[in-house]
Amino acid sequence: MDRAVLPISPLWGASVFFSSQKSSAKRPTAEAETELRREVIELHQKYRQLVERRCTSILGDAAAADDAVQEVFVRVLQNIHAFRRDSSPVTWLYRITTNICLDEIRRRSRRGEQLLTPELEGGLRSSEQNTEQRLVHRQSLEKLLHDLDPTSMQILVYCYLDRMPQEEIAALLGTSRRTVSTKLKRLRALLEARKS
Amino acid sequence: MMRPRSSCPSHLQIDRFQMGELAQGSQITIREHLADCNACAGLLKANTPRQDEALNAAESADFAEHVMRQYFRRSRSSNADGKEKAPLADFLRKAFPLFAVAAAAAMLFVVFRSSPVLDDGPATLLKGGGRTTIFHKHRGGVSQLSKHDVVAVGDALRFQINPGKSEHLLIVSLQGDRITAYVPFDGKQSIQLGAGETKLMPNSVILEGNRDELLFEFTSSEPISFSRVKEALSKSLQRARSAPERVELKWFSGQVNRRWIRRQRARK
Repeated sequence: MDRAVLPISPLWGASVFFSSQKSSAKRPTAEAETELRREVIELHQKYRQLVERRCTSILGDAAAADDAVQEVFVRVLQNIHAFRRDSSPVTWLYRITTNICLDEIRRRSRRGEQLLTPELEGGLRSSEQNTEQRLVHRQSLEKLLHDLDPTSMQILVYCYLDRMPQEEIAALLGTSRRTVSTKLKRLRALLEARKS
Repeated sequence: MMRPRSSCPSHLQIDRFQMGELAQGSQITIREHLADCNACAGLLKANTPRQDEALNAAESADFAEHVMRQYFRRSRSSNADGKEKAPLADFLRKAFPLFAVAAAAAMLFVVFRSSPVLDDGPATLLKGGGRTTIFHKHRGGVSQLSKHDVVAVGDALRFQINPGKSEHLLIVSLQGDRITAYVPFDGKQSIQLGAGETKLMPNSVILEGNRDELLFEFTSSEPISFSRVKEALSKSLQRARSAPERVELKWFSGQVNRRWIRRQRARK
């Protein structure tokens, strides 16, 4: 390995070396690559419909959902070791799919495009028991989505689209139930404010 | 359409049930619930793939090929652990390997986007730091500069340093090939700060020009000569421009203290 002492190193009272070898992520061997490809095929056959359904329900657009599905599987590959270790791949995929779709929604928001899918709108209406909430207008919801922080958006999706109880959302987000409860209260207050 | 009840399992639980991921007890509970709840049974039925929707192996193989191409393409600019790096971070790592890990070198970057290599998003990046507070003056208002802030030409930056121990400090700017000392302004040597002494630097720096600008903050127990820093920065930049491969750095001893600020010109 070629090594050279950087001219500035004595300045810091530390010895610093560099080598000129390439350090980009190593491509696996041919066998490992074949094995990885086989695993992707298996995962795709097993989870494709679940991921696709979820992307479509959050994004409401088949073309955008296709891109998101691909992104989800790239993300799985990037974290394949964590994915293999996870006791619940479905939960893992829920989380990653939600994040990727919400990223896309934020991009749409910046471009001033439509954010609310029929399913999410339906979830926001049907899961609320009081009449006032059901009367929340689509336009108001769009504005709400535009203003929300990432965690609140996740909570909104998990609560209103996936009908998750607060404990389940808290576990999924790795936060406390109290935090989820507080954010949900704020969300409901915002919904009320939008309505009025 | 049947409405879900408050006691209904979430979609996640139904999906986990369908994939056989749940523990036996939960599996039984949901099975019993499904027998009693048309809404959830309907959801499960809708989620069950029909025969004509089943994927054939060729489709999955095509998809896998595509996903793997994407993965390897991104891996080329990623960490070994698979975490994707922004092009900016990758460029800086190539350009300034010393400062990426060097002992007692704290960095802050201010970047005006002017080069495609730095075109990786509009946000300010803050990395490391803690001892330095940067005040940002924009159109008469002053605020503490933080991540995702956008700064513009004509804005002023003022530095406040709070060192944990007695040390020498130098902040320099790199814009194009021009390297300037910001703290002390146009100084030839670092300034000395006492332990626990919070010091607001006397002058502000007015940001100008539309080129990428990077600010580096250096601290050391010994005085730092501006000319040596300038020489090292120039060499790092030349090396990054000429060497196609990434320079890998090994270091030992000393502490790492980094601060990056990435800034983008306001587009208004």
